[in-house]
Amino acid sequence: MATPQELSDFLAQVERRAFKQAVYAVRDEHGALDIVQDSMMKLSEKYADKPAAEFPMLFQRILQNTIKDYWRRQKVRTLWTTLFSSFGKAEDDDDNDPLEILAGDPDNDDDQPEAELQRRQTLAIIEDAISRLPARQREAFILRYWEDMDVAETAISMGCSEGSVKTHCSRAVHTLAAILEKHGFSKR
Amino acid sequence: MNTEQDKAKEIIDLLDEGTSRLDRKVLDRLYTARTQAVGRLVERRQLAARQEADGVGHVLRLTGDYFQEHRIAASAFIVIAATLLVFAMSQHLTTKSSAEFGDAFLLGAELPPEAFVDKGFDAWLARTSQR
Repeated sequence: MATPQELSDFLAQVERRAFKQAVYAVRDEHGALDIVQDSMMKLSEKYADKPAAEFPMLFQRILQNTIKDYWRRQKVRTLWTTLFSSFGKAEDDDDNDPLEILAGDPDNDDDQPEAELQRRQTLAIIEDAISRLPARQREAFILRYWEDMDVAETAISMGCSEGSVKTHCSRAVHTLAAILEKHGFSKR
Repeated sequence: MNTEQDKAKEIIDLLDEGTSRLDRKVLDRLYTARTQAVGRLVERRQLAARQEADGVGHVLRLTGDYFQEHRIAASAFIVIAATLLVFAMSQHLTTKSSAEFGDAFLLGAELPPEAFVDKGFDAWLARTSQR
């Protein structure tokens, strides 16, 4: 049984990555925060009696399921919005393309060194690319490389075979690496 | 030539940089969520400890947790059970009073019970009451 301190330490360790993971999936910061908050609460309420060593896989499973629930609710919400769209204003399409944001924000250029600026632009590009990956490839890549799970643990978390995990990871890495090369990012 | 692992490492390094630059509001919200989750666990553990100390904690915790999670179903169950109980009691009391009235009437009457099943008795009663 995990102690409250162990739960707190684990959540502190994963919360930032979990938030970014949710942002990549739903492309909405507010939605991502809600997802992470719900996931933390579910882990606390339903699985806090498990050993702390099981938290990484459990939390990832919870996080992915919560993301899927979010999408289901969004589909229903979008359906009603579409049906009643003639009664109200259309929502602004505020997809935040990081390339457009960076290109249109010249004020920052003067204050930042060239390398730092390029790094931030590269980060925006790669985050956008991760958001556009197929969901399973993104999930496999993040669990395998960012959450540092091995192939077996990733397969359990995703509910698929180890072979599928390797395939998803390989495709994701090749896609992202190609994008980095295309934009001229190279390792120092 | 970079392997898949090396390429992934480059990407992860970038992503880690991204997490180190999160907005203050986002960090505060994450902190709040974490605090609430841990606080909920502490509350549950303290409640469980108090119930254990009371001696009936285990049963109460099981039933309490169940009813906490199924509030609507539990409330409906209680209302239906109470309704059935009131109905059963009202039926029982009505039947009992009828039986008592019947027995008391027969025991208290001056005539023997056989008189009430005698069909000629009503005719005799009618003649005698006219005198």
